[in-house]
Amino acid sequence: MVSPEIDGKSGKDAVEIARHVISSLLLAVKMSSLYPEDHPLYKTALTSLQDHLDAFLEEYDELEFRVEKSQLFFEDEVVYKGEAKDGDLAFALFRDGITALVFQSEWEPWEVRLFVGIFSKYKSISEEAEGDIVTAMWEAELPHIQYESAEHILEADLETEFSLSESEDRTLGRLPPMREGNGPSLLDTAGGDPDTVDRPSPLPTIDMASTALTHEEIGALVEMTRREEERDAIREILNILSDLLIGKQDERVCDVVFQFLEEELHSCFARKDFEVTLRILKGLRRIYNLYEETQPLSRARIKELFSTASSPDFLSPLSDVFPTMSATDIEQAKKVLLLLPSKAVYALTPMITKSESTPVRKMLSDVVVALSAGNTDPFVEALNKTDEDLLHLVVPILGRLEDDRSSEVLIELATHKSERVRIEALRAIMARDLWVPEKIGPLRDDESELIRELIVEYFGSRRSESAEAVLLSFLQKQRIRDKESGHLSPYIRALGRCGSAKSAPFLKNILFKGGLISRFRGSALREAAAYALLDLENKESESILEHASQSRFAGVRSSAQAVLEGRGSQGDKP
Amino acid sequence: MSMSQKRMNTPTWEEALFLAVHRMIQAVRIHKDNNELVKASLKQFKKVLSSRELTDDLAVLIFEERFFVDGEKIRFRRELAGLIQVLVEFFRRRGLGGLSFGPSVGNASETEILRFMRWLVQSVEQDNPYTWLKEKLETTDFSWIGIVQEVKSQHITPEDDLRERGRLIYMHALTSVKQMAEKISTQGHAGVRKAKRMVQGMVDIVTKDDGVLVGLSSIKDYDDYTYTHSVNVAVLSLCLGKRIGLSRVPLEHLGICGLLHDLGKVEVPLEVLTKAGALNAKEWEEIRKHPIVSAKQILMLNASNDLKSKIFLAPFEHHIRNDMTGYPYTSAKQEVSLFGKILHITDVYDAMTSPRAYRPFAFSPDQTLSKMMEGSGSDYDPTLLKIFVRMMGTYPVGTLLEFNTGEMGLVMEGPKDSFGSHPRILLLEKDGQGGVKGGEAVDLSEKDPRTGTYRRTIVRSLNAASYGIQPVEFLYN
Repeated sequence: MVSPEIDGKSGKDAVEIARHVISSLLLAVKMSSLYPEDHPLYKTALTSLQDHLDAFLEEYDELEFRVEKSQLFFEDEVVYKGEAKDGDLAFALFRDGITALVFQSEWEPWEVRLFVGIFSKYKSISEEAEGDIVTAMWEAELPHIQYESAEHILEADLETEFSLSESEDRTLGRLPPMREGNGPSLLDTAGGDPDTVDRPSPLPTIDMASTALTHEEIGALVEMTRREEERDAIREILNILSDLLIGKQDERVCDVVFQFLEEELHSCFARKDFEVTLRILKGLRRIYNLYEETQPLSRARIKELFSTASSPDFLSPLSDVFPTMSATDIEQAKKVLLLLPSKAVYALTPMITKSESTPVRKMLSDVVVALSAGNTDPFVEALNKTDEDLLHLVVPILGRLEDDRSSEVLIELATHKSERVRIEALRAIMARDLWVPEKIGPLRDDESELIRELIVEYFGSRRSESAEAVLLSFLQKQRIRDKESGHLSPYIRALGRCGSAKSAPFLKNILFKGGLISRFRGSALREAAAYALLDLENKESESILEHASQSRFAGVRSSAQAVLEGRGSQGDKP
Repeated sequence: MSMSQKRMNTPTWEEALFLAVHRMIQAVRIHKDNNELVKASLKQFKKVLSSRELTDDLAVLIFEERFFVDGEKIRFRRELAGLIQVLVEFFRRRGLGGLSFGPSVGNASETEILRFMRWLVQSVEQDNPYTWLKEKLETTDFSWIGIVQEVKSQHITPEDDLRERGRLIYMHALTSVKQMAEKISTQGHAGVRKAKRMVQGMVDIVTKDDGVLVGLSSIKDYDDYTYTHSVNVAVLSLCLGKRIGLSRVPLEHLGICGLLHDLGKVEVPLEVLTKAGALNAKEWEEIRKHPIVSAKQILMLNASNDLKSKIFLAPFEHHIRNDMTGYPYTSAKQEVSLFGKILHITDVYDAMTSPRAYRPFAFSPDQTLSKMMEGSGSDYDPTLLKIFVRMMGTYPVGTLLEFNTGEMGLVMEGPKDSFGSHPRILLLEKDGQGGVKGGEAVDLSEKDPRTGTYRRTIVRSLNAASYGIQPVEFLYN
């Protein structure tokens, strides 16, 4: 039967809307557990719930559901019938002792959203849960979503209470006088012997006027309360840890503190709380440095924690939060990661390849470079495990390292079967100014035009006997024909930049080679040779150029003249 | 052993019947008929009933949230309070106001009793449990049992309701903290859900009227000291926290700190905790560890780090004095946290007013406050201590006073404007059985109109617990 306020046709409508509220609540809870808050499906479900609430509360002041074990009632109508099992709407409310749930007309969207979240989180709870729907709603203090709760939640205590009552001698409260046989029978002492019980001499009664607070004390109290609100729990726990370590307390206690810090660090990564992470790590470092010599075991324990915090499992939550990290987050994360030992590189390197965010990749690369200083083993190990298709993303890091091991790896990668890897390796070699022309000489024949260009750039970057030898040897083996050998021009030019007088005869040969061929405009090879001779910058090459500029062959002459004229006027050589 | 104590250890027949009914219901709820526990409960139930010859119907009724057996109210006691609440709720959910046992109950067969008990348990699943049960009984010839429909009480005032709620929450908090300690001892970890629920309930009460809980903190338990002490510290800390303006959630955290502050004692050997004489250096060392172990146990709770980080510190600090002496030694800290300071005050207050094995006396509440004031500044934060003293009043609720008239009484009401220097008193009278009972309630500000002097003046204050008196048993009944 419905109440007089909700009667007749409108009453039926009200019951129907109440049912809709419940069904949309169920859907919203489901969506809430499946999707993040900004997901369209969740938003739609929430809007639907809010619309149904609106539809009801526009007509009536409040919507009250009475809760039973597996049913919800609106007025006397069952509007929801579930099962008495974990996760069920009615049962979860019942389980926590909620007897009525009331939505009031002035509800606000944030309240509904919070309620849905609370229900979603606590609809199933473990025996040793931290809280339940009631504790969460109590803390949330939703102004327009009210509940009534009974404490029959405590029926679970029955078994304990029952077992207590099993013991005959514990059935009732027992409060003996202080000493067996020494306790006075009350009222027999009154007015008689007042000192049957040993006790201290009476103290003067407090003068309550002396307990009035002064202005300063009120101020101090306000300040104390404020400080309490701002208390840094992490600092406190680190202080405690520090004291425990100084006092060489029970190792188990220290273990628990370390365990707590470890869990906190892990969850901090998952919730992007890099500020707390930073404080923990810095604090631990401070303690570590404090006990440099005196507490080798404590130092070892701290070291162990840092090592754990650097493992792939431990750092894996980072991958999930990278996509939503702001510039500030990235900056903070970098500070945190830089505190980790080089071992972390092994875990961080794959993240570079997986992240789609350029700033995140850059941050991680910076961190890897910094952490690899002094020990590149973790990075090399990570490289070996990296998917070939993604390898090129991390190869550039090698260009920023300085040790021999990474050089070897880089040189090896320069001949990798993946073109992208070879390119990045070559770029890295150049970035590091790693001078190994003999090692990468074979790339002059690479199928990649870009690689060949890079090789030319590399070989031509400095005077070098080894580079000259490699290039000269290579070029001398080629069948140099003008039309078919155009691709050799860059190498000839590079020879001029890296070579010495030793290369002059070869270049002269090219410049003068071909005789009448030179009538075909300016031969590319001849021009390259002319420029190379110019770049050699020695007397012999200059003499050759002078001689060529007066050649009877127009092609030879024009090539040499162009180069010589251009020397004065052109800032940049072609 | 005094007579009053002996009387307290033996349940009355009414209490025994109440316990037997409770035990029967719980056993049937959980087990099948052939279970040993069910059989034992049944035997006990029949034994209690057969120990008194019934000439008329005997009613077990609920009125204003209390049980009456044959017109006798089941008195509030720590062990019974939780059971009363549970059975009240059990009956309420079935729309029942009680049971009526006929004179033929002694002839009822075990099968009949069990069948009825099962119907009683199952009735909650029916749309109208009372009607369903009534119809079931009509199909039988069970003349030995009748059911009474629930009558909604109109007489409970909001104040009574709050006191009742406070008392039950106190008792459940006691159970919660005990269960947690037991779980930690046996399993190494525990959850905080129930403790949280209890503290939230306490916060609700404190924000309405902190006097209710201050009065409850006069509960002392010689045997279960650690648990009652933990709840008392939580209660007093919440009251003090409210006085300094803490809001709900910080109060919740403070209350949990209070409940759990001595959790570390689970690792202190019982013989050390209960040792009557002075502790030797090794034993003392064990005791001194408990704040650290409390913090450790809290960090091991099945709770979020967020919660743990808010509740571990004060238990760690609760034996550190305001001048940073005390224990555990700390070099990294400059000052004790606010919650730690509060816990230190309430911990000392409750400890000094509690009977303990290692000292031959307990201070009365007012003496304790005077003693504590001597340590203002060095031992205790002076501002907080002042607020605490004002909160408790000159004579805190539950203080046992002796008057110039030769009478004795318990302070009933907390301090109002006069800070309780002339509080309301519940006079105590001999009950004729070697114990005492509550008598007239009087106001110490009352004056003799002829002489213009106070009718009663205080001769001295006493520690009620030292006389085997639980003030709550008198003040909350």
